[in-house]
Amino acid sequence: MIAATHQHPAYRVGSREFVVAAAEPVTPEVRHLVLMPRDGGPVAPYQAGSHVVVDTAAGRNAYSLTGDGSTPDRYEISVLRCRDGGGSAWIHDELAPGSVVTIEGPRAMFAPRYDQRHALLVAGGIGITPILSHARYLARWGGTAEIIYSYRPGAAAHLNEIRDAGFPVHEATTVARTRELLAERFADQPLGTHAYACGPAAMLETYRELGLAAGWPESRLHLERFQLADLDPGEPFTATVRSTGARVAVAAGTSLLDALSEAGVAVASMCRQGVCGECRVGVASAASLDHRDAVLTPAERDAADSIMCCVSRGTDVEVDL
Amino acid sequence: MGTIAEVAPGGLSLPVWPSEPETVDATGRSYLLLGFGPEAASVVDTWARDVGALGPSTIVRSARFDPAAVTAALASTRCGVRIMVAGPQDDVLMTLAAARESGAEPEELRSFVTRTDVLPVFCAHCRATNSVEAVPGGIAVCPACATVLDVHPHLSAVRGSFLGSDTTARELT
Repeated sequence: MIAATHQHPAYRVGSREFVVAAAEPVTPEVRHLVLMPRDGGPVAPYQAGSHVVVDTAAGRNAYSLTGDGSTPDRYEISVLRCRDGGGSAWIHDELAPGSVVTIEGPRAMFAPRYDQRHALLVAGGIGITPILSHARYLARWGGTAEIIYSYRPGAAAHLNEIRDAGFPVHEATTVARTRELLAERFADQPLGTHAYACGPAAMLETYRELGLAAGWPESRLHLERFQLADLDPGEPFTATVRSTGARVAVAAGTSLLDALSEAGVAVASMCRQGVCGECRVGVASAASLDHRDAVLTPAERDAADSIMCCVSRGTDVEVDL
Repeated sequence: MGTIAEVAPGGLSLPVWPSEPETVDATGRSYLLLGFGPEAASVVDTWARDVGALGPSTIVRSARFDPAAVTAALASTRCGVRIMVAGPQDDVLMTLAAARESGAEPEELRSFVTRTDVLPVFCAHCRATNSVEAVPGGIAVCPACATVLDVHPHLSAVRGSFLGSDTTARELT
């Protein structure tokens, strides 16, 4: 990240305290938070589809901002309660108006293409949050879009807001209908359209498959993952820490990240599912690498010089730490 | 690939054209085939035959690049289309620029040039773009304002043309 030393305070994206100004349920499982800067200063504008990182008692979680990103005076996020008892449960159970949270960002990893002629926005479940941001951005700046929103009846966050965003919305409440809609809408978009999807892993696979089948090049199919398919535990292997020569045994079912951390080698991490890229570590050498993340490009995988240690594995891996 | 091939190695951004027509990309779902001049006819015929049952194709044949006609043809396409252009260099460059302006990605464009003795030159003085017989780095007369132009050896992929500026612009009078 570029040091912000010389920038105006309005561009601060480092760690900072925010006060919860409102915390309202938008569905039984989703809570919408309004966060105001505790120091009262300006907050950084952001590109549509950006997220902030929230320090929770159970770790650092990334949440998409739901605004259009232009001249914000607050940040708003919507948090689905996950059943793993992690950070989202803490946000649901422990935060109340007046609570102080530390957040970092915004960070853009799902930004709109500056030269798009039209957008096909696809949301599945809580994946609506960055899609709402894209829709609001396009509405604000005079863009055009079409939206597909797939949800379970009664569990759709921001349904009214997305309907009111000013663009046609196609809604689906079954997997079959979502598939049908995707195929139908991919086949009928003007040249120059870019597609953006956020949702569960299975929906994103379908999105990619149908987009490619409709003749769309990869460069038009943007997506944001918040969850990867369940991974198998993998084979045990040994990692060597280059600076100390320490050898760390990584058992099946244990991540390289956890094994390193147990051995006293701390690696910064966030999503712990191969999505965010935070835990990337250099690889000095390896007999083989099994990349299971969604961050590295094919070229970066071929280079075999780095690894997302939260999900990826290998054999005889010497990490550059 | 049409756009990639236009960027020469060594920092000189000059078109480098394939010696044989590029093949049809079978991953497309529809095809727009544009041919300029008589030499392009057989290239477009071959492409149309190779497209076959891959998807519907639209064929536009004309003597010269006509911005309105090309823009209309592009506007009628849907995402998933592959755009293939054959003809003299000036027509092909201007058509590729129009396709990019309409939002086409590099992977969606393919092209073949039947002759390279003509270039589209943008005159910095009268701001007209005209096709002239010239080579990059050479000299041409602007057909619109009669200024004698240095044709700069750089293709603007956005404009589909080369910059021309007055050969005497650096001289004090």
